[in-house]
Amino acid sequence: MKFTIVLHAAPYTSQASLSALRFAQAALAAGHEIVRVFFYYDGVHNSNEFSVAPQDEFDLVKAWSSLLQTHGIDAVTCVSSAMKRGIVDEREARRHELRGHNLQAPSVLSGLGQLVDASMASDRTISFGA
Amino acid sequence: MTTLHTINKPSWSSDLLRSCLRLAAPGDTLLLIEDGTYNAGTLSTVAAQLSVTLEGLHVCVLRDDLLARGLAETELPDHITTIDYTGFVELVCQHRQSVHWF
Amino acid sequence: MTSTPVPRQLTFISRHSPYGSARARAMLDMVLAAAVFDQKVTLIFMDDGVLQLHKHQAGAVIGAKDLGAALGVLPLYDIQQVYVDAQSLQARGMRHDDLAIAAEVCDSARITRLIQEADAVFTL
Repeated sequence: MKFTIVLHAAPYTSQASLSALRFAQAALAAGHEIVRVFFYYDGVHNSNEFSVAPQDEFDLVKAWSSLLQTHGIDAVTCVSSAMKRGIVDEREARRHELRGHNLQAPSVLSGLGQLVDASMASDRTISFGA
Repeated sequence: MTTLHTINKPSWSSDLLRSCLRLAAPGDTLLLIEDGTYNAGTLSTVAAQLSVTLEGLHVCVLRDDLLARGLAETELPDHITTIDYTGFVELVCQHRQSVHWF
Repeated sequence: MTSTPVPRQLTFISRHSPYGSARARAMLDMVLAAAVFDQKVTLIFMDDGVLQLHKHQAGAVIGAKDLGAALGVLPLYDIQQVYVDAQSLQARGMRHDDLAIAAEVCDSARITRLIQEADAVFTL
């Protein structure tokens, strides 16, 4: 089956991000396809490259990045949710004359249309949140 | 077609379980995840308070979330099944839609 | 060969009050996006979500975008299937006939059927 996964919660603050990651891993292991992972609302914090996990803790942000890149999964971080939360890509950083950019690869910034588009192309849409 | 409901909060501090039970239909599956696993022991009580029957509902608990919280599988009511993430994925496939209460 | 995707029934359950958190607004944005993409949209207000339907909201007083006014655009997006849970209204002392937008007040059984008719359900 084809899945779209929507994540509404930040890493570490609740268990939601880890639950979503483990679900994604299980879905892929079972041979399913993940059409898109859409980070929305506080979920955009999972795309913050500047997140540094303590050495004795599981690095969720890097884990998401690794999963998405290893399996070539399309990842979208909602641009409006991200911008107001300080997650920006190079283009937006230049546009707003910010000191740096921190969008974690391979995610791209885009709009809610990408969530709808993914859901239309999927058999199942699953949401995780706090 | 049936619906999968996931719940991630305990009923003492959240109304998620009550809202879900009001809308769940026979044949649906209720999956307790994260802090929702704390509901395993009180599900019947909450249902009775709402005058809602659990009959016809399949109830599952995500094993790792249960164990992490020090809740024993052996103390679960008979009608509750423990599953892993593979089982979670299967449940999503088996049900036409899922409602994620969080 | 490509084919035009069939519109899917996307159902949204809005359960949170406005202003105290951004969840109500974020949910509405998802609903509008679905409508823009010509999906069949159903919006259900329940639990604290019914509080979004209070009349005379004045978000500007707290420097917030007015959610009540924002809900007024639903008809412009051709979103007609709007439902409100009667039990949630009653629990919050709200009258069926005094809501900020046109919506069908319904019981739990109706909401269950709406969920069963959905291709995908979104919560936040």
